[in-house]
Amino acid sequence: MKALCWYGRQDVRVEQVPDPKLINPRDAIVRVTSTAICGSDLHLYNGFVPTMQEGDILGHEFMGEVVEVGREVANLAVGDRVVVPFAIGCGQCFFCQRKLWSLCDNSNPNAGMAEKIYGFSGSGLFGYSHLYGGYAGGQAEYVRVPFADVGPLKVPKELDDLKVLFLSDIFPTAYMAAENAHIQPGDSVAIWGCGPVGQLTIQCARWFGAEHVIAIDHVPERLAMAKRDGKATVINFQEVDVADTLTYLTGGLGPDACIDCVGLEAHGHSIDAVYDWVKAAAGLATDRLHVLHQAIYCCRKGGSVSLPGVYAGFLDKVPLGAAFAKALTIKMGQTHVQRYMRPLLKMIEGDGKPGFDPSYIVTHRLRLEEGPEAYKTFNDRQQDCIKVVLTP
Amino acid sequence: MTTAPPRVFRKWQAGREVTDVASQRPGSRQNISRLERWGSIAAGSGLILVGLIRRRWTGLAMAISGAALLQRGMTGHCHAYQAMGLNTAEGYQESSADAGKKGGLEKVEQRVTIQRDPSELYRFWRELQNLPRVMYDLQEVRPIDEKRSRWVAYGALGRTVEWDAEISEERENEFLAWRSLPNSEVETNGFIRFTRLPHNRGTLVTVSMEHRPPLGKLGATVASILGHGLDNKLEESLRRFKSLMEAGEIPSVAGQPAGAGRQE
Repeated sequence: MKALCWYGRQDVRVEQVPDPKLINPRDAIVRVTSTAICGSDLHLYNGFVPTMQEGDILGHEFMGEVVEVGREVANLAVGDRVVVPFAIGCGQCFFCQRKLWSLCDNSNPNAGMAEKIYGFSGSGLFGYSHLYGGYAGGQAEYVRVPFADVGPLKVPKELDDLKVLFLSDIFPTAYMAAENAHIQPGDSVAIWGCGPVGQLTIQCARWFGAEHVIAIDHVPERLAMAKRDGKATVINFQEVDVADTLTYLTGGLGPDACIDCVGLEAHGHSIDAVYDWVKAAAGLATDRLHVLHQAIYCCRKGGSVSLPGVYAGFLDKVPLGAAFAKALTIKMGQTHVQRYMRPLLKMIEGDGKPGFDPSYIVTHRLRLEEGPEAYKTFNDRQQDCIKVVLTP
Repeated sequence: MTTAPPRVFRKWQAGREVTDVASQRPGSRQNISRLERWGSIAAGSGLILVGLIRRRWTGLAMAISGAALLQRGMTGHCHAYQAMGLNTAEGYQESSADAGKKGGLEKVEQRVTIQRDPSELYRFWRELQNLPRVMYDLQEVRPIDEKRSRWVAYGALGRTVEWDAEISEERENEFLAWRSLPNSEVETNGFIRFTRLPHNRGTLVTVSMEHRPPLGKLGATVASILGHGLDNKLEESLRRFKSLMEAGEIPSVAGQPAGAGRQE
């Protein structure tokens, strides 16, 4: 089969590789019909994530058709159309039973490695380095899906791929971001980062009752989308002072909730944040946590800060004093995708009324073979690129 | 809703003596000095930094050894020192436990919580021939009779090590102890205890193992430096046991595809 493989910094290639096989009894093999490039894939692309190996198959946002099932998978049949959650959960452990799927105890074969760095290991992830299990990803013609009896969501044939594909990651991620922000009806919510997750978070914040949504970015087309499709007030941080503007817009109170949809972007992911920490120890402190700083600084007293953006290591200069002084609530973590897939599918189906269609964020549709150019376009934000979907 | 039977609750309370137990648990205490800890932290951080800049396999190896050093510094515990019976921590005084260690027996004790009923876990473990599915380095266990069994393990340099063992004590669904028979090539003993936790929190599994390394102290030292001491092996074994019991399988990516001829 063809697969998009990682070979190093800004070096991804379409390779001919063997087809995946069933390995464990709860596996299924899925023929991928659509797969997206996630903002967090760019951390891999730019070589910031350690424990990647040459030839690793990328991709954790994908959907397709079941072509083979293991002997323990009773609920799926060959031909079923499924969306696959990016975090792999067994459904049986302490965490899965508490619906904390992305903290599954039993899905990361390299849990020992992650424990050395984090104390405990999160779940395995598709196509996201060997620290997260080394699972081959879904930017390929076929993919092996572990725990297929509890993970994949069956979707009706009449819904287009583009409508349901984002149930695999960014739609639930946006929803959990809003949920973690404890939004009450009438709240004002500030959202940093207007990439795909930021755009959908604007929508989700409204469903929780947000009265006033303020979106912050510097890329003109992203701000335009937030304004046009999300009806958000937008702030270009290169033009105005964010803190001052937010205080003004919220009548001196500050936003009730601040959501950071950026994360450690420029600094990447995982133990490379140790690198920050070493630099700080050597007196060469860096300051790329700008969004986290702002979110904590701008948030109103007693408000909530939600972090769907990825953080990974030891950070210095986190303004914990401000968070303490203002009695903030801070919530974060990888998305427990399986918890949200079904209710969000209902939102898309609409239940009689017109449903929500998240496909408006897609700006580029390309073939899997064009993957290397797609990564480059997305990474360089060329051609007004916001979201790329690849078809194998 | 607190309907846990009193009997079980008492047992859990007994398990709560963990603060006392922990300070005496083999292989758990700080055994390096403050100066050395800072040295480990600095060297570990440096290795991670250089390793990450390389971003290749050699870099990965450096980053991982860096992480191990960092952990050594942060926790103040060194597995290699433990294996060699060394201790440079401030205020350290040799105890009877260490004296026992000098007899060449290596001992570890670990706990894991599994979301299954004690009876289910006990049943798996009592069928000793199941153990190679989860225990690191174990090739085969053949029951000889109700109590005795033949154990075959992978040894150093590709050879195998064999010994006979017997169940020395068993209480159904609660406790199982075993020991090697006298004059075996390997001297080993251990126990596993299953305690039901209240509030549907699963079963607390405590495993203790003691063995004389086949190559003596030197073998244990080499193994520890390579990160494959008894402690690590038991940890990985219990992780597999837990996965097999809870998820019904052990997570793996063995044999999956990868680009350019690499296949795991």
